[in-house]
Parts: sequence; structure tokens; C-alpha cells
Amino acid sequence: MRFQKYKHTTLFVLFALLGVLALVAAVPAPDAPTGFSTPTLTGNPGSLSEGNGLPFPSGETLADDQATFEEQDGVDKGLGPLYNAQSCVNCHQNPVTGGGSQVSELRVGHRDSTGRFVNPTITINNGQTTVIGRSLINDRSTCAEAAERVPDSENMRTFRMSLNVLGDGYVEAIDSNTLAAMALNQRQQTGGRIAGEFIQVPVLEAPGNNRGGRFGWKNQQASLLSFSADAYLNEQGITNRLLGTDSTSICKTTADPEDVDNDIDRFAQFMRATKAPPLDPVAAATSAAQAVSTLFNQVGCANCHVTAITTAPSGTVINGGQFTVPDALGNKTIHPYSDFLLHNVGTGDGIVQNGPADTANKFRTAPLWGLRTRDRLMHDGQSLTRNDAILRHAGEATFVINNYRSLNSAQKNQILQFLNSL
Amino acid sequence: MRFHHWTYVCLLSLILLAAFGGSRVEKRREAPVAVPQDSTEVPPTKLNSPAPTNAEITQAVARIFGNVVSVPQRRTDFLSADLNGDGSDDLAVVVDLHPQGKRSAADQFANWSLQDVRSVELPPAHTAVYTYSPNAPRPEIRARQVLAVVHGYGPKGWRDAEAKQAYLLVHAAGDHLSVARISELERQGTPIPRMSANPSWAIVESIGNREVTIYWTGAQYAAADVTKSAGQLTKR
Repeated sequence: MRFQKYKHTTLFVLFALLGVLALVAAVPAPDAPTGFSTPTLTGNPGSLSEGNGLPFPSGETLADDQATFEEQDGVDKGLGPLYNAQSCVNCHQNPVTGGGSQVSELRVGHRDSTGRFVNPTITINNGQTTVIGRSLINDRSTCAEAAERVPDSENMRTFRMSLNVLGDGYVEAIDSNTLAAMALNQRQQTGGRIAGEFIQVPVLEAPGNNRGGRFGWKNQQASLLSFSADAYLNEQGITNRLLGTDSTSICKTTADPEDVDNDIDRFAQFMRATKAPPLDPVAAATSAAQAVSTLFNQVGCANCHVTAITTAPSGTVINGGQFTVPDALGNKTIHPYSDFLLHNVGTGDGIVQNGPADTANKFRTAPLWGLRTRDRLMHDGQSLTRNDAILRHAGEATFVINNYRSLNSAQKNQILQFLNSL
Repeated sequence: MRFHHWTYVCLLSLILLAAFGGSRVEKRREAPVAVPQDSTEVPPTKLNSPAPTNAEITQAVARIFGNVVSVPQRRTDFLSADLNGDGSDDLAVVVDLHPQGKRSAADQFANWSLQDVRSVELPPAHTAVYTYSPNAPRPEIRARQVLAVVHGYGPKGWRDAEAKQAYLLVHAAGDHLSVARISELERQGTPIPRMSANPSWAIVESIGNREVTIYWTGAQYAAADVTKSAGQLTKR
């Protein structure tokens, strides 16, 4: 009887709760925090830095991880024999630690008689030793005997610009299925004219497991720990628990693995803790910039330079079971202006890395967040103005760039100003 | 009545649990992705295209460059070949700059790229450390003629209405335009430093009393003097 008395009230409360639930479900994931908030410091690295809320294990701090990221390694720590730089920050620094830079790496190779890409064979040590199995040419060595030089036979010679790693924790937290779905949608929405390729690459810390590649110009890595291990070996010559063999033993004085402190874990944790690159607050606040954001979509740029992606829910186990997406990274909306897929936009250099042979002329869509801090553009840094970089797109991007061509000068200028706000 | 009461209480509890606690109870694993293996690139099948006519060339140049340049009526130096190695035929043609067109040709929002083929910096061989300093000034057009290149799109090549990627090349307008295989040029000693192995063909032409090759580096067009032995080059 008493229930009957309150029946309507109870039903009202129930429906109200269901309504609230529906509203909660419809609310988009909150934006990830943004900011260039890891200033490079030499005296007390990381002391002024601010993370994205990622919790640190007991005894570890963002400042410590940033210090490790900025640490200058020497031969005593395993630097070389072949290397490009002494520290992560040497290439990932503009305008703060973790950003990109003008530093490029050199990659070479050639094609065999069937047209297949072949990695170079680099002779060092007065012709007595060869370095094989990679397209990368290290610009430095810890002794003259180990120095690499490009043979005439390697007629594909190209540069790869250093990438921004700020906000990459969110990129890692994107579900691989989200990327695969974007590739499918893109094809359907453009009648196959744009067909981003999704590749899966090995997760080094989870042997036998593959995941959607998303890091590097060729999407050659899927996890930040794999990326750290790869860069520590190939850019600094420091072997680690995931990649334990140097490309040469000439002049080598340390035992493998050289990363005895497991710095690669600190690098990965630092990158996961960084905020996403921010918009220019002044430029982005103008109504013109907001209007041009629509033009950016209308022209078709956003087909590949995707404006918003939501990361996987917190608690999702990724990287072959080796990492669980924390609250700080999970269910966040990011604005990377990339689909993290491989495309042929007519700029290919023919070099194959981790992907299948058909990726030879494809590159990952360059994320445009933080673009305003870059001067040399595209994968090789060969385009120096925004307009030149746009006009350099062809292949899959042809119809989009033709839309851009049809804009008047004022509209083009608006697009360029918009890019300068990113 | 009491039964219904508890039913509502249970329902309410479930809703509250779903709203505020459900997502944290169990972990979700990233599901494996089944990727369709249909992404193999297929190079465009070229049409058996007839030799370009003057009318076609004039039309293509007008479509892209408007009235900034024009195809000389007295004599047309041109060629059609796949210069950037994308499997689609490109057009190269010497064009006249209209006297009032120089400013438009160099307009920062132009739909083509203006490049000086003599100001290209590329990674050389035989060096361990290379510093790239792209500080070449924007090309200044002093000549009356430039070489226009239109990159092709799809099987129709430069004839396709979508083929609009184009270049105006300073210091590249010559006579007797032909193409030669890059591999042959290299074999005969002409250095072709480039950043892509895709192109197979390069332009060979006479500029003044020199024989010059103009080729696609992967990002832009560059020039190199052809070595003297190149007289035996197979040109087409």
C-alpha cells in the first residue's frame, strides 16, 4: 500500500535517473589538457614542469623523468659506437622538452632489379666491417673507424625530421580499432580516393603481439616503450633490454645491455605524462580562426588531418597486455590533426621500414598540433612555407589540394593563418 | 506490493552502479584488429596516349597558369614523360612569361611552385656529417622564358582535369627537349643526387652551349650538367 502511495514518485525518480544517464552517455569525452609545460632546464631539469595528471609510482616524479630525457649520455653509459645525438632532448626540444626540432636523420637505400627496396650495406673500419639491415645512417660515431659514409650505390638519400612527442601518451591510448575504423570510413567517404593504410607492428615489450602502428614517420612503432627502446638504440647507440645489440661492435667498450638503469621506462613515462601541444591562445580565439576551422573541413584537409579523436576508456589494457590506460589518458578527446595512418600523397621516397612493401611511398599523416613551432616542413624538411607544403601534396590528396587551389587568396591566407594557430 | 517495491530498489541500485561504478569494475582489453589486406598499391594503367598536340598543351597550360604564361606560337618545346615516377605522364613545356605576369608567377598564393633549379641542396654521398641549410632566396625571374611542368594524375596523366600540381622552373628553359633514363645518365657519369628512387626519366636539353639534365629530386626539380660522354645517351 505504501509503495502504491509513492509509486509515481519512484517512477519519476527512475526515469529522471535514466535521463541523467543518457545525458552522461551523450557527453563527449573531455578535452585532454594542453600546454607547452615542460621547459628545458639544465640546472634543475623538470623543476618547472607540469604534467597531465598521470600518477607516478612511489619515488618517481615528472622532474626525474624529464631529467633522464634531458640527460647527456657519454661513452661510459654506452653511447655509440654509431649515434646521432647524446640525449633525447637534443632532437625533441622545440619549444620545450619533448617538442620537435630542425634536426633530421639521414636514410638511404636503393632498389634491386625487381624494384624492391634494399637497405644499404655500409662499409666502415677501413672496409673491414659492414653495417647492414637498416636504412638509417648515423651522423656521428665515437671513433673515426666506425664513421658511416654513404656509398654511391645508395641513390635514395633522404631526410626524416625529428618529431614532436608531446601528448604522445594520448596517441598511445587510442584503441587500434579506432584507427582501423578511421581507415575504413575514409575509404567509404571519399569513394576510395583517400585510403589510409593501417599497419600492425610488433610490440617489443610483449613478444608475439602486434598493435596498430602510430609512432614515427612510417608508423613503425605502436607503444611508447618500443619507441623509446628503438630511439635509444638507433639514435644514441645505447642497447637496452628490448633491443640488445648495437649495429657495430667497432670501438665498443661497454657490455650489453647498456641501459642498466632502464632509462627507456623513464622516457616512456615522461612522454605519457606530457600535455598535448596547445593552440596559440590568441590566434585561436579569433572568430576568423574559428570560421577557418570550418573551411579546413570543407576543403577536405580534415579527411586525414583529423581534428578530434577520443582515446580508449581508462582501464583498457593495451600494448599486448603490458600497459593499462590510466584515468589521466583514458577517454580524452585530443586534437592532433592526424589520422595516424599511412598515405601516399606523392612525397614518397621508396624507403620501407617496419611495414609491408606497399608502404614504400607512404608516410604517416603529419600531426599538425604544434605546427606553428616548425619551420622546415614535410618528412624531409624540404618545404619551407606552409603554401609550398600544401602544394607538395598529390596522390591521394589530389582532389583536396585542388579544392585548396580553387580558394581565393584571402581564403588561402585564412587557412595558412589557421595552420599558424596550431 | 512488497515484491514490486524491492524490484524498483534493485533496479535503482543497478542504475546507480552502472552510472558511477561500472567502468571501474573490470578491465577491458584492446581487441585484436582484423585488417583487410587490400591496400596494395596499383600503379595507374596508362592509356595508350597519342602524341600531344599544340592545342592540348596550350589548353593544359591555360588551365593551370591562366594568363601568367603562354605557349610560344612560333615554336613549342615540350615533352611528355613520367618525370616524378608516379606512373602517370607529366608535361614539360617551355613557356613565355607575360610581361605583367612575373609578379603573378611569384605570388605567394599561386597554385604552382616557383623554383630555381640551380638552388637545390641535397644530401651528398661520401659524408658522415651533413648540415642542411635551405637558405636559397625566392627565385627571381629575369628571363623571358621558364620551363613549366605539369604533373600527371591517374591514367590520363597531365591531360586529366585534376592534374594541377605544377611548377615554373627558373633557369630551366632550353632547346631540344628530350628525356633520358636516369640510370643511363648516372652510368655515364652525370651525378643525379636525389631523395627518391621513384623517377626513372629525366629531361635532357640544351641551355646555351651546355647540355643539362633537369630531374625530380623527390621534393623539387634540380639541374645538373650532363657529362660530355653523354653524347651517346639514348634519348626519346
